[in-house]
Parts: sequence; structure tokens; C-alpha cells
Amino acid sequence: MKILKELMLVHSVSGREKAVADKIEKMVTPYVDSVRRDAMGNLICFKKGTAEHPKKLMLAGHMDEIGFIVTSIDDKGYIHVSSIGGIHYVSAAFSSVRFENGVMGVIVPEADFGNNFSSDRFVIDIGAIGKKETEKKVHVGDFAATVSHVERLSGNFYSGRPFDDRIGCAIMVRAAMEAQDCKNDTYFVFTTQEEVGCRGSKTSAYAIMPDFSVAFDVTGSGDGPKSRPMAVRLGKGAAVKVKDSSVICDGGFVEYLMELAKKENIPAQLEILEGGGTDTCSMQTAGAGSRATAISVPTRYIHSNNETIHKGDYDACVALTVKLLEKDLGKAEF
Amino acid sequence: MQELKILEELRAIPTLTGFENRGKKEIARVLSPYFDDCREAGVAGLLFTKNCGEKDAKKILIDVHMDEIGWIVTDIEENGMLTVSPLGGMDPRTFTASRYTVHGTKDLTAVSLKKPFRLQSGAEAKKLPQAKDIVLFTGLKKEELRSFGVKVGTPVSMERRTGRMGDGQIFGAYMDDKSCAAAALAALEELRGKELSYDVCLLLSSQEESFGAGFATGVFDGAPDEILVVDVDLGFTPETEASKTVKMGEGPSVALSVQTDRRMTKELLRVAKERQIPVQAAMNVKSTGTNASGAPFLMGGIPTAVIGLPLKYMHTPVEMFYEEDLRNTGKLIAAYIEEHCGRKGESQR
Repeated sequence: MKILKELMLVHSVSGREKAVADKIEKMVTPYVDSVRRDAMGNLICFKKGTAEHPKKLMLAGHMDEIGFIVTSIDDKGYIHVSSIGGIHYVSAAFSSVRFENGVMGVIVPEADFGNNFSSDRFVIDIGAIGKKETEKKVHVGDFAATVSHVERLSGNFYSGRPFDDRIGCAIMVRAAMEAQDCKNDTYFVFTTQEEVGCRGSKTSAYAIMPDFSVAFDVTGSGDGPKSRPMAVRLGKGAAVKVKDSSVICDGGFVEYLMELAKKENIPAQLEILEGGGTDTCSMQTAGAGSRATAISVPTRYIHSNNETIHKGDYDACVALTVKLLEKDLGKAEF
Repeated sequence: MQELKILEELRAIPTLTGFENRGKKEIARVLSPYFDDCREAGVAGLLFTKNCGEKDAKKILIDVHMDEIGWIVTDIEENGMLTVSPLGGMDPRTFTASRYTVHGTKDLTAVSLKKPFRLQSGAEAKKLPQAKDIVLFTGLKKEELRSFGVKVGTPVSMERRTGRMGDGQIFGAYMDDKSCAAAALAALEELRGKELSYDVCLLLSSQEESFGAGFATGVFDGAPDEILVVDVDLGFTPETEASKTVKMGEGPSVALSVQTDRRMTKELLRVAKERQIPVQAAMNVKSTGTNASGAPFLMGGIPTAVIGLPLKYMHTPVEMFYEEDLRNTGKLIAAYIEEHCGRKGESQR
């Protein structure tokens, strides 16, 4: 959990991912052949494959998290914001928020907001005593996010934010560290701006044009209180994506991963996510296309302040990824 | 040529959206005899090419999507009922009391069920069925279903029965867009023996009904100079607005839209008039609702036109069209290619 916790505690709202990218770069550099960043801020770490004719395998996990951007500051000193990504307003109301420069605040709904959950009914209070004072600390265009944290619940359950998608980044970091032998030309791509339309993965996938690609992200589960029916359960292992609302994954690749998991005794389950998209779609459609799927971590209460996961699933995702890296996909028949 | 025979052969091959790989070999077997080359292209697509014989010739690409709408199994309940989610834009009016095929390792017959109508409250009975309320019944137990390879992610298709109406219209599921594949073959037949200066490609693209992954990647792979997207177009029925539909039995439509190339659409309408092929100009200003939507942004933009086969009751098991419209669609494609991709056409430009 150390790597994951370390990545979770850095703030990096969509479009401002540098802080977490710096951290990941430090972690991954010793284990790969080259590291670069592209114009959109994607962190692209490359490891040369050892197979005779290595295929291009792209792994993507997004570095960004949902948050807020300052649009104006009123006379009383309250900060008006716009949302970046799909904010869970029930959870956000009355939360602590932190700006990039460390200034703390609380995000509060207007007194009479009723059921109208939208960003124009929310303001941030950093201890308002007038516009002038506030403007000394916060400016239009500054980014903020609800405060990150992570705690252990009972057993192997952990709750906090943002598991989405630092856990995907952490899986890739650990896989880069643990894989004994990368058979394929492997691109570990830590992407930007996923929460606002999978933008970073579009440009990076187009530059790489992979043959095979795997996204790493959180997915929902069917075991929350009154959650919509879904076959995925926490604690049942790595979720291999069949479909979400942005992509239908390559059937052969899905089967291949499920077989690999079975052979290696790694718990795995099939996933269909009915609401939500991932970087998988950008990688599938880059250039002439690639064979794409995703390995997901079953998560309850996604986009809330207390996203909840099971450590066993996280470990299973790492184990499955390591085994995948060690397979020559050029020789795989699917 | 027997377009309708080819159509039946294609319709018999399940190619559900996102699961085209399962039927690709069979599709290739049916269509390959009409081309010089067949290869995989883009995401789960097939690219057939008829060479004109010239080296480095330009290419015109006819796009027809091969994918079909249906369901995807989301879970198997303890009692063997299958919960499902729509694959593509299923028509909610067809959700209940329909017959389906579950494509496990073996094809299994299923019917869709909901609470009996007489037990539904007034308000409930008036509402359109919701996908989340639908379960499929196969008569098999959970363990039996598993032994037939049914699991999360198994695709399900509509009943493929077909037939003819009194006035000769043909009905059945998945005329969208396999009827247009038959029209494209009819066009190739018309072009047989004609000297061309373009290679003619046929892209059987994937995922038009879902996320469009097949067209953009297939076009990138094929790198054509011009594209003719051939897809079904919403046909007029008495309850629809004439301005939003095309007439049945009065020839293919040519879409006029920001997504289509003005020179191509003008020429399509001109050659149709010249050769007395019935045709209708269809205004789809903002979007054609076809694969062509992505064309203006591909590889710096590729001139694209959309030819539509008028079809009623789209996305139901009783999609319906006139055989004559299919033939005329073929004729229009052939006429355009002959005029613009032939030796004569080349010098006219």
C-alpha cells in the first residue's frame, strides 16, 4: 500500500498533473529504458521487449483526479468554482478542499440549494473576510480538490480518495518493478485529463500506435447498498473489462487474460460497466486500432470522498499485469 | 447476380457489435469471390479490394458496417435467468416477448420476459419497458448455462426470421446494414468488365452501432481517396414526419449534410438523373447519423458521401425495404464509380 498511498496523497486535478507525474517518474525511472513527457503532460515510460519480434504493448493509467477550478471571487470573499470532471456533489458538500498552493478551504452549498446539485450552487470558503483578503491567496484559474486521505477499514478493505485512478498508476508502477522480463515493447503511459474526456490517452496512443493495449482504472461493483445490478464484487479479484460505455473490448484479449489468470491462480472476474468510460477507447481506436481491454479494480462509491476498495483485488491486478508483461504477445493466438 | 441470396447468407452470420471477430471468417468466405484481395483492417474490420490493374492507383472505399445490435449478458441469476444490457440502440418496444439467440459455445434459444401485463399497475403498463427490467429465459439452469459457455459478456442476437410482404417488401432483422453489403456487391457486378482507374475497396466495418471503432481505424488502414458510406436510411411511415424520413420505393437517398462532400453529392445526384436511376436528396444538415460522422476528421479529411437505402422499422426484427431500392442503390454506386473512377471520368476532372 505504500506506493499507492504516496501517489494518493498528491493533488493533481485534470490539466494539472505535474505533481503526481514527478512522483511517478522518480519511482519508475530505475525500472525502464527511457522516460519522456509529451505536449499534453503524459508521462511515457518505455521498456524494450526481449522477444525476437516484440509487439507494442501500451498500458495506460490516468494521473488526474476530479476537482474544481476557480471562476470568480465575490465581494464577501467566497470563491465560486466550476467542476472538473464528474463531481459527486452529495459527497463534496461540506468537505475540506486544498488548493495547489496548499491553501485550505471548505466547499459549501448555498443555503437554499435543495436538490440542485451543480457547481454554480457551491462556493469555497477559505475563511472569507472580503474579496481583497481572499485574492491574496487564491486566483481565478486556480485548481482545488477535496482533501485526499486513505484509511484501512476492517479486513482488507480500504477507503479514501482518489483511488480513481492513482490505484491504476500504482498497479503499473508495481508491475514495472516486479516484472522479471518484459517480452513486448512496453509503454507505461501515465495519462492526463481522463476525467474530462480521455484526452491525454488520445494523443499518446496516437503517437505510440500500439498493437495491444490495456487500461488500468477503477470500476463499479454490484455489492454496494442498493447499487445497480453488476456482476463485479469487491474481493473477487482483478476485473477484466468486457464493455463499458465507451468501448467494447477485444473478445480474444479478454479470454486470454482470463485464461492467464486461471493458469496462474490469480483471482479474476469479468466486468461490464454500464455507466462510465475509460482510456481503453482511445487506445482501441488510435491509428489503425489496437486490441484493447482494461484491468480494473472493483470500487464502491466512485468519485466520492470515500472510494472503497479491497486490497486483494489490487494485488490481483498487479499479479495479472506482471504475468501479462512476461508473455510474448506476438506468439499469443487470440 | 442474386443480391438477395447473398443478403441471406450474410444475415445468417452473427456479427454483433463488438463481437464481429466471431463471424469475420464466414463473412470473408461469402464476399471474397467477388474481390482480388481480402484482409483484416482496423478494429475487427474486413477490407476487400478489387484492383483496377494500375500501380499506385487511387482508391475509392465503400463502407458498409457489418455489426448488429442485440444484448450482452451482464449476469446469470441463481435461477438461470440472464440479466442483459443493450448492445447498440435496441428499440425498447421490442424488449419484451421476443425471441433471441444466446451465443455461448452453442447457440441457445431465449425469450425475453417482464412482469405479466395484467399484473402491472396502470402507470407501469403505460411505460416503455426498461432494459434493466428485462431478463432472458432459456429454460436452462445456471450450471447448464455455464457448461455452454454463457457468462458475463456473452452476446445475444435477435431472431433472424425473414419473409416477404404482399407488395414485395422484404422484412427481417439485421437488414441494417447487411442489405447495403448486398447493394455494394450488386454495384461491383454492374462494374464487371468496365475499365477503371481506381481500386474499389469494400470496408466491412465494426462497431457502427456502438462506439464507431471500426470505421476510423479501417479507413486509416485502407487510406482511401474517397469514401462512399452506404447505410440504411429511415423510411417514411404514416406516423412519421416526411421531412425527417425518406420515401419507400423511390430510390436511394443522397445525404446533404455538413459531413458530406458537396462535389460528391452533386455528382451522385447528377449521374442518377442522367442514367434515370430514382434518387432522393435527403437533408441531414448536422449529422447523417452514419459512419460518415467521423469522416471530416480522419487523416486530414477525406471526401465522403452517404448513400441511404430506405428502410422502415429500423432496429427491430421486422426491418423492411423494397428489393427495387436495393437494386437502385447498387446501380447508383456503380454509376458514380464508373463516371468518376473510370478512365473517362479521370480525364473529365
